[in-house]
Amino acid sequence: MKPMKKMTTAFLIMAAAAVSFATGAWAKEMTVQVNMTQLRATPAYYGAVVATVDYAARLQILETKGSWAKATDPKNNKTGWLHLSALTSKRLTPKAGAKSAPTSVSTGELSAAEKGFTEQIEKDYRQKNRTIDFTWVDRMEQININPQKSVAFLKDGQLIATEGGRP
Amino acid sequence: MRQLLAAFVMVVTILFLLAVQGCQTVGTVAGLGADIAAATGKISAKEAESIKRGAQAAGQAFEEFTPENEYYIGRTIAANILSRYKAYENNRANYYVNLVGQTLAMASDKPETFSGYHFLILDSDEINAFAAPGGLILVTRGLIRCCRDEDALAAVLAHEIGHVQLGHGMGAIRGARYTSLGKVVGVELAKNLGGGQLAQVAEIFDGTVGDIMKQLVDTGYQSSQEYAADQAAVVIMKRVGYNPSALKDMLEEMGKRLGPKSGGFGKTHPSPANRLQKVGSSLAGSGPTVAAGIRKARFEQAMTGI
Repeated sequence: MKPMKKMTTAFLIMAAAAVSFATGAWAKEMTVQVNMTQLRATPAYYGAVVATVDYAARLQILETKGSWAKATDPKNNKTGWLHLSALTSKRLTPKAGAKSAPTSVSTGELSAAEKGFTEQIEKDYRQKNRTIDFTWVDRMEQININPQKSVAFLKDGQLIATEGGRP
Repeated sequence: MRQLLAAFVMVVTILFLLAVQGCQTVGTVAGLGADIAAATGKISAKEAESIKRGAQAAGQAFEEFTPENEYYIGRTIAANILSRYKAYENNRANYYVNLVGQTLAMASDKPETFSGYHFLILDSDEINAFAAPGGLILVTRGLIRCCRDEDALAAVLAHEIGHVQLGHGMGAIRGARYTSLGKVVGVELAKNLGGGQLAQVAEIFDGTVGDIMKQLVDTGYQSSQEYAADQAAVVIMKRVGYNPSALKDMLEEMGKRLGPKSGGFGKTHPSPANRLQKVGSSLAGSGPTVAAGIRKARFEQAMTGI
């Protein structure tokens, strides 16, 4: 092999390696770490809702833009954007009674943190601390502002609908 | 030939840089959980050490709290505060505070928490506010009275969102809790905790709640954390288009109203004057924004009788 040809071959190999390294690695999975959130048509809270995703859902990450990720839910092949603060690279266990089937992860891979403070612990706490009243905590959690309401509120006050900050 | 070699080296270098850059981006996504934990100050280096020691002892690390853990801690914190203060039972006012607050939270660096941000007014003349982990935010009527318009209220709420976003509440948890929890839950990964384990975890939960309550009610955040929350508030307000200098107006009004008998707040917070001094430079150039009048009108309507 002439030096010139050798170099061309080496070049092609390196180029292929570099490109696949830079792009191929995007086929990455991440897990929804919040109770429930939405996949949206655009990287913004005010974008149309494509689908809803639950806690522990594993999503294929296609690309990121600022603090938003474009992801596909393999369960129904729906693709949309969600904020990176809703995602973790860890695996999580679906809640009992969740529609999604349990993931096939072995228990060894599960985060010990999931075993920390859960509904079970709150229940125990409430039994032991009868004077601590959760009524208003439950009530305040019921106050949910639909993003469309926020848009109208911002518009009326001549404010800006931003796309959400960076994690 | 030499030129060719130089060109080749250059191309390879560019491709290598591209690859590295790609890798960094991927790494950013991959390490996000850890990044958020570190960035939000959930654990300090010292605490991380404790966790490592705990991990060695138990064979399995309790690395960090998940958003779900944070949610259950936050609920209990809010319930404890609501056992000391009464809720202000005014649906219109509470709805309006949520409208402003939840809209601001969407523009924060941490718009997603396990169950979202929720706001409630406390029926107290005391000037105070509490941000429970996970985004349950409680603000007294006394503090709202320091706000003369919606932009000032936005400053108060964005400051509290800043504490949540920066993980200040969770930062109060002592490193020993992580170590203990690692020892209990690290060894057995059954779906539910057994009786003995449950009792142990419940005890650690009590301690964790105590750590945060102590900070929220008795000692307060560190001054540096208050200044950081002010800075976060300015960023959030600017993103949405509120006038950040409303933070200044609010702090000045608070300074006037905070007397020597101002309750816990004066003890747990740096003085409004000091906060003004710290945040002042980032307010430079910001002045009255458009439609402040429209926003003031709807603020006054929602807050009648506050």
